[in-house]
Amino acid sequence: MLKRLLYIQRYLKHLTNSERHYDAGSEQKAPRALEPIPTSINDIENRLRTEFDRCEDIVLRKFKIGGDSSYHTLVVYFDGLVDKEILTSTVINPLMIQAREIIRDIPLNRRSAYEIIKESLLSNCEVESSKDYRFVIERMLTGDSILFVEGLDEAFVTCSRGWEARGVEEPDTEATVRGSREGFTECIRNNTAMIRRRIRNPKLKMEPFILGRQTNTKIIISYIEGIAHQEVVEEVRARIKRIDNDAILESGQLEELINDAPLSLFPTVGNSEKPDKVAAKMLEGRVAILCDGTPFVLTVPYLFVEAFQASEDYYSSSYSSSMIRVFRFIAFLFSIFLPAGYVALITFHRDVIPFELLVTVAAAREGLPFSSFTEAFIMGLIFELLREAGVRMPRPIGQAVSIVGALVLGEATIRAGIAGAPMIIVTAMTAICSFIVPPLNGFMPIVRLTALVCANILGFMGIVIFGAFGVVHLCSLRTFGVPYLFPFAPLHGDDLKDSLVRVPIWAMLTRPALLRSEAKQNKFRIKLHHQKRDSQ
Amino acid sequence: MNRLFKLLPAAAVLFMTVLTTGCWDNRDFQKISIITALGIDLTEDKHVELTIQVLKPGTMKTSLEGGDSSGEKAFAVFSSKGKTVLEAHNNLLLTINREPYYGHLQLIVVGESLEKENIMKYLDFFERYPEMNRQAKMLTARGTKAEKILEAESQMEAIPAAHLRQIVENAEFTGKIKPLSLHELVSFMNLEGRHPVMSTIEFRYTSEKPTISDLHITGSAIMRNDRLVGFIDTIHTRSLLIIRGLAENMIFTIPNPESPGKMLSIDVSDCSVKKTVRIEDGRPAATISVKITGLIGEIQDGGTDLDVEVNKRIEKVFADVVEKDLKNVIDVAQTKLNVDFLGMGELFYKSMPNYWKEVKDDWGNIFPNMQIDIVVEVEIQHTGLISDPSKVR
Repeated sequence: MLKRLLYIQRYLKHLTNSERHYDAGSEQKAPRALEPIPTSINDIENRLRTEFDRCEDIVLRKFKIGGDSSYHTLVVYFDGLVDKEILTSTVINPLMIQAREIIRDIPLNRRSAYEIIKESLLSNCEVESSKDYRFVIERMLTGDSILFVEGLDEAFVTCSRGWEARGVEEPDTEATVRGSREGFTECIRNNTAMIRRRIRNPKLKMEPFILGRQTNTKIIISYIEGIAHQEVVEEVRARIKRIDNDAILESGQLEELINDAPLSLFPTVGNSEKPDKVAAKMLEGRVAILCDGTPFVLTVPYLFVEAFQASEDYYSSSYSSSMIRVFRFIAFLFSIFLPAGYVALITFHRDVIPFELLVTVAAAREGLPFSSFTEAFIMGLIFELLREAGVRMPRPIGQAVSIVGALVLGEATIRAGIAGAPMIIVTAMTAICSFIVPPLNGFMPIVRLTALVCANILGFMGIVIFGAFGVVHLCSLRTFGVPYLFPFAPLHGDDLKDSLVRVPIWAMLTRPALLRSEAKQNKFRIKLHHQKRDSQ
Repeated sequence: MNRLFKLLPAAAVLFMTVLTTGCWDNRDFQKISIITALGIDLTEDKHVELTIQVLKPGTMKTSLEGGDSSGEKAFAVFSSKGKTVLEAHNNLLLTINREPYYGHLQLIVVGESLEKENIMKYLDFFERYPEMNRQAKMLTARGTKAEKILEAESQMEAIPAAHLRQIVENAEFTGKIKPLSLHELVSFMNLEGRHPVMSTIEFRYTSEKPTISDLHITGSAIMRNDRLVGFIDTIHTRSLLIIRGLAENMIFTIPNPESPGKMLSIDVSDCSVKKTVRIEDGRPAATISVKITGLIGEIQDGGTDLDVEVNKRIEKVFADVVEKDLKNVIDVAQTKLNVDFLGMGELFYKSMPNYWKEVKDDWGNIFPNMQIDIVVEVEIQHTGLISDPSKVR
């Protein structure tokens, strides 16, 4: 096992090294040679037909401009990616019908045809022309329709994208009581629009990338120039450029590829489905990474405290949100240490339990067949199974699952004498607490179980050792050059304003220190330089 | 490999912390029996007899779930014998199925038979055993075996030991006994110039099935160093507590100066004591000044009209009673028992250490002849909710 881990580590080391070489190489790589478009419509058609052989959804429409037999044209698009109404009214109709009058007045020659078509005939709002065959094919694959004209070595790319997509809905993952109910959709264009609608500012930048050799997925990194730290943006760019794989289907895959600590349990890249949340994070100086095909937008750098922040904290009074923040921290600790603490208490440190409680617990445990550790393990396992069953099932069945869980497993295990009532309470409490901090939910069962094992071996001593290791690990993490535990470690007094407590909006005078781009924040720059030196 | 070697010191430190934190174990409740009270007696052949009151969680369970638990007791009492306490403790495992767990021990009852020996001989185990509750209250079983005390059932609680412990702790309000924990007793032994005083409990049969109402707290057992020499009653114990500065709340019932034969109760709310020692004509002497503040808690005679004059007369009587009580207990200490359980030696040890060094060994002869002056100052601050008693006309 250890051997294998070491092997993986060596592999990763090798990978990052080779990526560096690749990175350096890609910058020197010469731009791809232009692939000319054949001037003959028939040539084009043949070429397309061979290239898109057995592609049922491609449509090739051949017709004559204004009925003039010397001007054959070909419109190519993918069925389903194109809004046919727009295509008909802005491309086909003008060229076929309205062109007759123009052609009658001005006889066409090869050169003027290009200008007349582009400037007078195509009434689409986005028309581009290109001499590069590869480029137009790529555009066609994104949903544009392409117009080839007989005798021209240029093709027109007209925007007629339109497909069935999910509407803007309230995200299930981040339900709110107060605040915007809009959620991102699978369409990246909608998503950028939702951000743009919230930050109406020319400084809001959106830089496109195409990733995935096979999927050609569109990735957009978005940030606010002047607020986001330039070096973080560069780092994001560099890391995204390094990616060279077959497919990016969801931002989760991207997240894993640009993660600072790929082997860590803790997430160092954040994600959200809510445009207002992403906009707020960008306004704090973070960089958003949008990925086509998923409503989950990534934000970097991602600090540990962000797991405890909810967008609602900023929309309700600072007292209540501060209180809830503290509860969330407590809930986080509970969800990790509660079963472990319980087991440690009753198998090692009975002396600290008040006598009356001890009697109650002893009575509840009387006649149970398993040790408390086994019991905690079994109950934890049952809970994880129930949760998984509830998540994957359709909603009505999910309810049935929870009823089975609550009644059969909760009540019946006590009656049958498999588990004691205190253990059910501990498990339920742990479950509730683990739901309170959703971003950290993924790794919680692993940590909880490890803590439980430590507690079973050494009691509180084990829990303390385990906790110390955890804190050391958290301190060692960096997210895009920023210490993961900031503002706690390194402690930054000013930035504690939005950590355990949330001070009123009027008292938040400065942007988060480690993220802002002002020159006086030298500390952060040094850190990033350090990081860069490391990686180069 | 190199990295592994670097990690070695860290691993060593971790390993050592694990090993040096002492005794550790992982035992579940199913594997232990919770001992609520423990009694030690001496048999005639000088063997230790250990009696334990064990909780029976199974019966607690039924009572928790609302089932019928009237028939079954929530505890069981077992005894075992051995040459030493540890041996007796070990022999317990021949009778009970689970390992005894003393972490929540409420009471340690010491039989009179044992106290006549050197008690420290037997307390060593309790100090040495790692999982011992040092806050357990110590009681002396007067005139009976400790075992008998542990067998008494409680009418209020499922666990008699919890009931008894609360009674002992109520002493804070009665001022009649001094609750003493195992830890306190042992540290008493280590102090110079003081002799421990343990609360006593007596057993008087009134019924077949012993209950806690058959038990009586009867005062204190007086020990010279760690050996029992005699008993004092609750009134003397109260005076003793005043002298030691440990009393706070207590009741004094005094004759009503306004109408002979009727009584009057003073509820003491504050009691402070100041003790000074000196050498007078080569002999040690001490002054004990007591200041008591109280309120009138009850007047038996409706005819009493309270005014400043009457109040002063009551205070006078009260002061006399306190002074007489204190003198009595000093008399018991000096002449009857000849044990310095009042802690006079300690006063010298603390304020005149050089003198104490000289007389330490001869203190038993010096103490009975020591002059102890008493100054009592009392104040009756108020009279409760009413001033004059309601009158019947």
